Amino acid sequence: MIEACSVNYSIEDKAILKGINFTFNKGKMYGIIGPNGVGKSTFLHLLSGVVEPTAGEVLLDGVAISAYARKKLARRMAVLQQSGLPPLGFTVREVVQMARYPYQNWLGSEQADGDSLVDEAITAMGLDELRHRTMEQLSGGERQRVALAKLMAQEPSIILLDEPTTYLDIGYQLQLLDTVRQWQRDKKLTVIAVMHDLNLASLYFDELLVLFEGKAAASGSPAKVLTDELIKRVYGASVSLVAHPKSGVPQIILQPNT
Amino acid sequence: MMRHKLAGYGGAALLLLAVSIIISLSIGSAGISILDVWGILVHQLPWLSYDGTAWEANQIAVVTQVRLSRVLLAVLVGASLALAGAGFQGVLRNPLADPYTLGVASGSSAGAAFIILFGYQIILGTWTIPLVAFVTGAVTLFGVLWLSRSKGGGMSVETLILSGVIMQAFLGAFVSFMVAMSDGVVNQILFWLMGSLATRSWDNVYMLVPFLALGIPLLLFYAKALNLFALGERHAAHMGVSVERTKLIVLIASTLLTAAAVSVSGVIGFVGLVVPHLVRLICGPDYRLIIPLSAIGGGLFVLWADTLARMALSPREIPLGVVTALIGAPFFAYLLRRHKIRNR
Amino acid sequence: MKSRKYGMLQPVLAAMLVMMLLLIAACGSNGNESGVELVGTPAPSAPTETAQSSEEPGKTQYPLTVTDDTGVAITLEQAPAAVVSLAPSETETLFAIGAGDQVVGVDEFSNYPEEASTKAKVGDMTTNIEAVMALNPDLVIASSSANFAAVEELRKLNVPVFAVDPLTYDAVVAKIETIGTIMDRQAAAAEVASEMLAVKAKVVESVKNETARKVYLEFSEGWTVGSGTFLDELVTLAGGINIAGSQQGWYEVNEEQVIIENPAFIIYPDWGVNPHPIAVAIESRPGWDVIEAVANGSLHAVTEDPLVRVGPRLADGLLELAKIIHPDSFK
Repeated sequence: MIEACSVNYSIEDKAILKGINFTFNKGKMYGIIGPNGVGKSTFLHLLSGVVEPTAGEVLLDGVAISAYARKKLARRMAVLQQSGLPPLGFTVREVVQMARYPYQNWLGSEQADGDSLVDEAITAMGLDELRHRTMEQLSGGERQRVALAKLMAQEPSIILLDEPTTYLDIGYQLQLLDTVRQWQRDKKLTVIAVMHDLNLASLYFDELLVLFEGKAAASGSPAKVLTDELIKRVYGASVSLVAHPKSGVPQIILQPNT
Repeated sequence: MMRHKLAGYGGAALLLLAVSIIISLSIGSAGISILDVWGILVHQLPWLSYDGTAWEANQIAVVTQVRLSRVLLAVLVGASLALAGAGFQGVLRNPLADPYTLGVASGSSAGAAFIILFGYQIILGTWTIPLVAFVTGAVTLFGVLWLSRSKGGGMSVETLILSGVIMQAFLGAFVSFMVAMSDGVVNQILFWLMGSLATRSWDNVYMLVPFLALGIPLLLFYAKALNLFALGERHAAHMGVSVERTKLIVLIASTLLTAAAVSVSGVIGFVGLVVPHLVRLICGPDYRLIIPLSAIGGGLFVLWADTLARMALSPREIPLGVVTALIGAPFFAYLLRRHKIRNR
Repeated sequence: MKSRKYGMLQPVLAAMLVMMLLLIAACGSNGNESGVELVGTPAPSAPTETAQSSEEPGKTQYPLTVTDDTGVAITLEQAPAAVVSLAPSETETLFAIGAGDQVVGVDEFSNYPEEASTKAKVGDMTTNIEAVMALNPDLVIASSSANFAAVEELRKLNVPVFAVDPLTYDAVVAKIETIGTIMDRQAAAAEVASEMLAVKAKVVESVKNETARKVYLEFSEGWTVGSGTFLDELVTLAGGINIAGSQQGWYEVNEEQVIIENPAFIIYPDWGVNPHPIAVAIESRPGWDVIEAVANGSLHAVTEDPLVRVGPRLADGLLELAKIIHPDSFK
């Protein structure tokens, strides 16, 4: 369980996040939405512990996140960056193997059977045929799958995703989110994702947190949060909202002004 | 799998190094025959006793005092520089980084130039220049670190590199000024700068050994972290790497290795840049391979360069830094052509 | 696979190769020189006078035309009254022949005799042309190798420059006599010349029957002096064999060479400091202790200037060297 307690963040006296209070409970999928530049990614990095808030604190199971040893934290929490994995000279298998770093001692060995976990993750993401290709030989979508496989091999109980679908085609977007959701259900993970696309956010997440002008403007189920009033207020756009034919969650239909 | 690769490449590299050392020991300006050279060397081994009076004192002195120490020194200097280069490239994530990027060489040069210009070369005996050069080189790093510290206490790679550029520019100007002021018949400062292993002693060899003995295991320890660095600093942090601490330790260790090498041999370029790249081209981006193999590769490179430096125009010496650049640059260009240099 | 971005590589590689070859060629030729003058480029012709035959022995006839070592002829209407010297050797020469009063400007390094250092300064290795012009000289004497740029500049400004570059002891003597003629001090110059030749003759005679002994010169740390230099010539005259003589000019010598050659004497310049860096360095180099010179403590400091300045004190330098190499012949 992650708690943000009066989290403030400023860069050179410019306040970006102004006192956010929110609790992310175990075992649910949370989506963080809001306009560009509001500080969603920053907030995510505060939650992951790599950035320290200017004021307030982030607690992981009641303990300040800054008190956790880095490796211990990495065994609990895994992060998927927006930029994905760079096209390196490492092979797919070598990259996924890196996920076991938090479990290895200085000699490089670990207690669990790291190799099997790595292979399982590779198979789960359908990368078996690519396992010995180098990253630079893969397409963007394939690298994203490798990034996910790496996440799996890290065996986290909490996953943070920073706009994971931004650079993907719709097919891959759905594939990624399907995989994440399935995985979350199987292992009862806590997922917190910064989402750009409101429709996807609505389709996949149990709860949404809306950040606006540095504060938590709204939170709750997609049905509760995605109202035309909120969208108008936060995004300045008039939209039509319809219920999804299969699942009933709100979906946004865009409305041009002219 | 990695273990196999290390054993394979490592074994081949060590074999090459051993052969090179044998060849280099066998040739020299003194014109001693190979049989005599090896007779003298073998005779040094305490458990092999046979009549050693077959050789003149000069020949023995040349082989055991001059040539042996020089060959070993070349290997150690090369290993130190290449190792430091690998460390810098890993932390700065810049394929053009070399041990001199953060201004260590210009710091050492400034110290050495000052000593030479004012004739203080022997206030601490023959240790004066190496000691001063080492201290000024190491201090330069701390200057760069101080310049680069941000409010949060971390140091961004870009700021580090820029600070290094500033230091180099400033100290370099200082050194140039001292070179201009130097009015001896031979511009001693200039020739120190160009690098040389002539007239070095066993003391210099002993000086480098602890740095390598500590440096290799230390950098190997951080090799996995350096692999993760390739994914990006933030990413590495998410994987459990203590990013700032790793950067600091690797940078300091690499700088001390560089300062030690430069203080002994002057500024020898290209080793720290070319050798890690070469290793990467052959063996891939894994630092667990790059680090040990760079050390061996660096030793090989400088050994051959120094052998050329002392033999090509014998008995004249060619400055070692000139030879490493003349070999290194075209060779690197050739490699660039044949293989695509992979990112990081 | 060829790609456009590597297109530039071939000309660049070719340029590097050419540079490499040029550098190696340069290394093979003469060594470094800076500061105090030493070896110069071979002169196209020795200084000659096309003077009138002396009706009055010892008195120069003006107008006088002389050709210097650069092949340029200058004509002097009368004995020069304001001379600027750009090289310490020439300053010494002028004072030695009694023309010190005519010297109006000297370079920074002209420190002998003491009176010379009181003259106006016109620069060090780089001559300050304006300072020279301000003194309004009717003659400038310079080294054609060390003061090459200044000589060109001054000639463009129509200043008479007599540029010299003697390469041997006898050439220095001849030069002193020529300058004596120019300054109308032939008698004094002749005295200096005969003195120098006498010293040379005496030295040569004294060491004639001695075996030549091996000498190693280290005049800059790690650097020795090869053939084609004054030091080399003087060592040879003094009955020594310069072990570095196989190469030309100044160069950084490989230690193995020195140890194997096993010189009996090691000679280095006296810098007035004690302990001396070169002596300390030599004594601490590994393997050098087996060299005869080091084992016997035959490391000798010599006064530097007389040996490297191509002036009247070369004789002093020669004598000093001879006394070191063959002490028994000079009681």
